[in-house]
Amino acid sequence: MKNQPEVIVCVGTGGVGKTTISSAIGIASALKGNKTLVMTIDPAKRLAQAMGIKELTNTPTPVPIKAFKNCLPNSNINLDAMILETKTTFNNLIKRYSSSPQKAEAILNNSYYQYVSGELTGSEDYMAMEKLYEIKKEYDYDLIVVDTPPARHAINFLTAPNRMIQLISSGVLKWLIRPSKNIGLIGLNIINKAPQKIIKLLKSYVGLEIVEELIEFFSEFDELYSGFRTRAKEVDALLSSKKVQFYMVTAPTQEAIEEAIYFYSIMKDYKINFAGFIVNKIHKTFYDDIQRTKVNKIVETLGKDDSLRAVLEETLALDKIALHDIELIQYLKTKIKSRQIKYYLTFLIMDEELMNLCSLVKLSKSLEGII
Amino acid sequence: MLEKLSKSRLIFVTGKGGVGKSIISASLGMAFHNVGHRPLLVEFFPDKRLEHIFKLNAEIYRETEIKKDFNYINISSSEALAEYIRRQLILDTISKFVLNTKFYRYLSSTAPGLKELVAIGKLYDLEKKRDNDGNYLYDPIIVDAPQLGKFIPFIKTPQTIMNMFKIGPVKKEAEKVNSLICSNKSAVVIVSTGDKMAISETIEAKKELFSIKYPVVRLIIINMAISEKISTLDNKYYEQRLNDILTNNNIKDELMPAIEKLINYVTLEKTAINELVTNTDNVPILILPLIKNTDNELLITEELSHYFTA
Repeated sequence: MKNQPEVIVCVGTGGVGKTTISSAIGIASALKGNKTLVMTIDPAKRLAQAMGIKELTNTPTPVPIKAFKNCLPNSNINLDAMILETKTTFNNLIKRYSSSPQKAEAILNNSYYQYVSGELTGSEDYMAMEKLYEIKKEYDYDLIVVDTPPARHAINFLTAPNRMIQLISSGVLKWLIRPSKNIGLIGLNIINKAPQKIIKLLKSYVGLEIVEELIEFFSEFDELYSGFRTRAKEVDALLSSKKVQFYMVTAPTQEAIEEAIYFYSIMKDYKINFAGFIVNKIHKTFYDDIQRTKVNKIVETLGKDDSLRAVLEETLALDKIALHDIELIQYLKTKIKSRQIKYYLTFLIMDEELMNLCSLVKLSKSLEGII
Repeated sequence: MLEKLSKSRLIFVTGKGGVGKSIISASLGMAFHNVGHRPLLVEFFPDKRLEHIFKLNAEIYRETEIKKDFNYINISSSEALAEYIRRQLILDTISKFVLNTKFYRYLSSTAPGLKELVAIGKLYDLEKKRDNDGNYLYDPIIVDAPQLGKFIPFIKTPQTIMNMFKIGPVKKEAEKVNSLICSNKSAVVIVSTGDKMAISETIEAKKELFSIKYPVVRLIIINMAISEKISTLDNKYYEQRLNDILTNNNIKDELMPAIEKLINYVTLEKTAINELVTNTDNVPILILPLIKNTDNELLITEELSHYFTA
């Protein structure tokens, strides 16, 4: 097909089921005969559990299809999965762009580097895209499905490459540190008076040791910089190509729907190919209109402490939630005017066996249209 | 259940996304207020969930009264950073220079975690505030904290910064803040729903928090539960009851699938909650029902607040 996507990126806020949906899209694609990879950043490793893999690693691993052949129409499918380790990806990038193994070693051992690339880093989003780019180059998947890091605000993800470039590019810190590149710390004092003040300030503020580490980091990083920047631009180009489709996963709660509308409103500022919304975790209604009226009437005839009344009241409450879900989806549709935008609706999985491939196969049926 | 938190000065409410963390934070605040405490509710910019629930029009970074003796603040980390820099740099010219240059904007991107540190630092300042009689101005402080997954890195920020910066005021600031987090003054409340996925995440988070020791998880809340009100899980019983009261068998046939579906849901919820009980040692668990009859978040908050004192 002409418009067949090569990459599908699922964005969305936390709690909407991005990982589940990404996996289900992966399965739908594999079932159509595509060689497919699902890339997740989910630290809870639920995807691995769901797919029956003991542990996911930073490289693609085949999903053991055989164990689930009972719920698959054919067991001859090609599906891999992997988890993204931010730090490993970052380390590999450093190794790739360093002029020598010694230089790479110096950066990797630098304590400032360890600090920014460690758990505090906000570069998770960027590293996800970086890894995608690498995998896209080195493997021949028909489709790669990317599950993005959980964010309170989905838009964080799109700004990631820019934030990354900002972090490593013409920062004031770099400006401060540049003069010292070849002449050491003392050299600073005679070259630039403004930086001198700031460096002095920094020294008393955070200690000489860290200032030296910082200077070392930015000096060493300088030679990697152009490689990094080129790479970031290539990643950016991949993301804005027609081959990459973005879907926003959302859920029928006021908060999630508002976030989806907000995301859509500013998404246009980014050159990405936004394909549609996947509204996940929709509740199923319990009754139709006529039944609902009947049940309400029956409830009224029952005593307050009647256990039958309690049960019926709860069915009505859950039914009401399901009706509210429908209203919210309608609300989303009226807010988004574009006709190109597609909507996929997926129901909340209630079975106990949520965490296996069979329930994901079931879910994937609602998402077949995506591929 | 409030007594489980009575010694806590700083209560972090966390949980998987979409479980109703903000409403629980709000109702916890209301519960403390109802019994005569003077709570302060905190959320971090750009979130405005609590502000919406109470229909406030609050100024960022300034305490706003919800009711008498019940306050709210939205902490913006860039405001906190600006305040911190102003306070540290007594020299006004340098302070201005720092705040006006790119340097300031850069500080947060080159030193990730610094913004989080000063945001937590603001909690430290708020905790110390006293009224004219020397009593705590806010008691307790309830924080609508980042969701699980982001919470542990968030709460460990002071420690990470302490390891990074060997000397100087930043390290001192981190140590100061860390001494509050790593004490019995701080507590964590984990909010979950009754589904298996949320419960598994809660168990995992509880274990992880247990391994870092502080802050201590003092309470786990199951929100929007439906199983509490259902006394029997026997489908036959309901079928019999319907037989007794209905003359029309068609209606019964229409109702039974709905009841069976509900009983199935309740059974799953009970199993998940049991798993939680056996996996969380002695942490108390409070089960809050799904609030029916209203969609109004403030009314839901009010109704839920009574369960904390019941």
